[in-house]
Amino acid sequence: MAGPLRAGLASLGQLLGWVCARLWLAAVLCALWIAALALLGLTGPLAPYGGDYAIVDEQIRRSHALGATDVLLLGDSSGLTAVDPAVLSRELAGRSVEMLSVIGPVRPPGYARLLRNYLDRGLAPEAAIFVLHPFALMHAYDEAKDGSTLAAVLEDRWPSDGFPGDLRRALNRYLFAGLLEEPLAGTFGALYGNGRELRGALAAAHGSVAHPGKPMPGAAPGTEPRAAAGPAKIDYRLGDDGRRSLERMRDILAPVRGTVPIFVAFAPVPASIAGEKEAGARSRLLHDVVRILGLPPEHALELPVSLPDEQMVDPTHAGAPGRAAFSTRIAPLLQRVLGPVQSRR
Amino acid sequence: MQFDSTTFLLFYPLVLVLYHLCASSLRVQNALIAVASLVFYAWFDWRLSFLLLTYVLVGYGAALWIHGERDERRKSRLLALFVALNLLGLGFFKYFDFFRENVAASLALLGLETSWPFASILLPIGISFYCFQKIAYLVDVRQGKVEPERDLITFTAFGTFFCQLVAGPIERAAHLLPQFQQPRRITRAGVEAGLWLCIWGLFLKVVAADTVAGYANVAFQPSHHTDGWMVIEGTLAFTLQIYFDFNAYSLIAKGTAHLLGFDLVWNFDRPYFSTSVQEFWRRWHISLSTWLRDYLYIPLGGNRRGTARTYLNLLITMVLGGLWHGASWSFALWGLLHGVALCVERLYRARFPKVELPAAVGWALTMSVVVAGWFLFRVTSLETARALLGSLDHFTWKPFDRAAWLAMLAVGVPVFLIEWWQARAGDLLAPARYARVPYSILVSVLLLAIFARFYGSPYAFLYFQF
Repeated sequence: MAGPLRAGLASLGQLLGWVCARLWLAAVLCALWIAALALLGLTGPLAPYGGDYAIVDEQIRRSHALGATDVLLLGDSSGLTAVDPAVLSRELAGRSVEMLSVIGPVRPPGYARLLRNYLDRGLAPEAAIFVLHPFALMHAYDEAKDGSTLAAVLEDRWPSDGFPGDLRRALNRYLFAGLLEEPLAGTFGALYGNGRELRGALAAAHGSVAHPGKPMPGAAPGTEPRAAAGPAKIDYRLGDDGRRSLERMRDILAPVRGTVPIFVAFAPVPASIAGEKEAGARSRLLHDVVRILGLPPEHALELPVSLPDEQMVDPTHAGAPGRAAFSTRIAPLLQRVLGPVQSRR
Repeated sequence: MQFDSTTFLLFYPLVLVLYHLCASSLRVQNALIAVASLVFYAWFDWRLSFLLLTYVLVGYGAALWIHGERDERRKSRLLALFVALNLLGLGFFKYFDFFRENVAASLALLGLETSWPFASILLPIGISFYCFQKIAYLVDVRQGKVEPERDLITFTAFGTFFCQLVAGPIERAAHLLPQFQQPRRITRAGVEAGLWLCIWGLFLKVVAADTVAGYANVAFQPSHHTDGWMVIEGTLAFTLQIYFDFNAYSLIAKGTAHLLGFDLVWNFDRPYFSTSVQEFWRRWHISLSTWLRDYLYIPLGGNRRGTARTYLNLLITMVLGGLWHGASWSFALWGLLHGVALCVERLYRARFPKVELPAAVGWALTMSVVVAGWFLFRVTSLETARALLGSLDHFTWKPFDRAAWLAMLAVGVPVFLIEWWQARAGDLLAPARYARVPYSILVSVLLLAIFARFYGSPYAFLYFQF
């Protein structure tokens, strides 16, 4: 027995010896590559891969890097896809407009944190406008599932994915420059390709994105609006989660409330679910939000309530035609609020 | 289990260690390979290992029976019977629903409605590969090219060898079986070659193929806003994906076999450098194209029965070769396209024997056929093909297009540079023999890329479905 085992061990030892002899230097070089990334401080936690994460990560970066602007738009993805800063800028007599809107799970405290990131650099826009979707204030978010983006915005760094996740992300972004990223899921992948291109498109569009989805099926007369990404009917009741979230937002905004006029507006909903009867409830909810945030009542901006269904992708997001139409429609209202152009920074 | 799965990364080293510990006994090593192969196959679906064992046992018994038979006509009848049995199994598992659907459609044309339900039969992974390998073994035994293996353990190890079981290369018994019959000699050069093939194969699959796969998948999704650019990019991405993916499998198969002391045939030899479709088929899926030549084209008469029959034989071989990939008319069309291209080339050479096309022109024409063929191969249905071709009337450049081209360039350029280097050296193993420092720099980058993109088999190897 000892003989065959000794022969086996010898065979195994020989194999391992040859493997090590051929690969030891490559292993050392791998370690050196990783050490170089670590020495340059590039192995810290990065955003996970995905469209939502790319948007949030890019807006965090922009909140620290953006130059002076006249109007700053913030909020959730309803505003991100419903307002085109370029159209607004043209309609607002050349005022510069930038957007730092993100996605719903970032929640109001996160939107406020992005504004603070911007203002804390000594910049002072004419107005900061939060464009929110009423649904986002009625709906409770699952912290365990959706909390990572809020945590990233509040702490200004992404939660660690541990080893090897963090190192993988660092290698993909820095060593391979994001070129090996696969396409994003769904229609965002079909229009924007990967996260790297989405970031570029978002930055090029002053912080907004055109939603690539098709018009909602409810656009056809006599059909029901689809239930995806929102309710078929909105009752405009502020949920407990929404209230707590707004209170946290108020606390984060407290130090800057006097330095810049802050406004709140609601994003449009599809005409088929807007409902004339709910108009009063919508307005009351908007004023409740403004009150909770400790803002003057006139800082509740009553924007057009709805867009035709064919201009919406789902109950919370406008499609590209809706984005252009809504931006054009809100411009005169904003112009009235902002008054004549006074300054250029 | 897939080669690029965490399971295989644990399974293979364990087998390798046990295999080397049994170095003093060939029989134990073969038994280990047989058991490991059945475990490897059962990992996909344990029920399939019974089917595989049936194929092995029938092949084992049939070869001995054919060989033991003295009457030549009975030998031939037995061979026909067992080849038919093999094909019956393949046909049942792979083509039953296709056959049923087409019969129902034909009857519907005659006004006869049928309501036969789909059988939804589980497709055993790799059945086309091991079925063809068994057929080749029986034919070779019948023709006296190989002696039938009498030891059941040796034959089971040969018939189930996990390195090449599910996606080839389709090995000939004359080449592989003797390697199970004699003690394997493991050399330093063999180990170095095996390491390079495994690393390069993993890079091709995990980094190159899987990166472009995403773009091909998006572009071939009819529900997406497809335009002309997307169709072109999707087709090119798939052209790269299918080569990187299948070549990756073949290289890892060869590499893992090398570390066990086996030598498998090369399945690819830089096919996208071909300057004619005929050359392409000498470089693409070599084990299948030579199988089709030896066991289908030549038995049909090859080029020995006149010009018209030669063309017909070529077309039959290529259409059946297309259908071997799957039960869909788009595969048959793909085969037909290549068959027609081969006939046209043959005709051209016969008419203009002294007029050689410039290499660049030959390459461009060949790649046009190849890329158009991959479009047919990928669409899976003729309706999808029509819808996608309809998108070629409008082109709108968008971020997706930039991302797709950058991804294709990012993975395509390094791969084809390595292949160009192999061509210059005239040696497919040239990188494995490179000096220590440049080799280590190259391998370190490949390993980091594999690590960065290793998420544990997001996409199955394409040829698993065949």
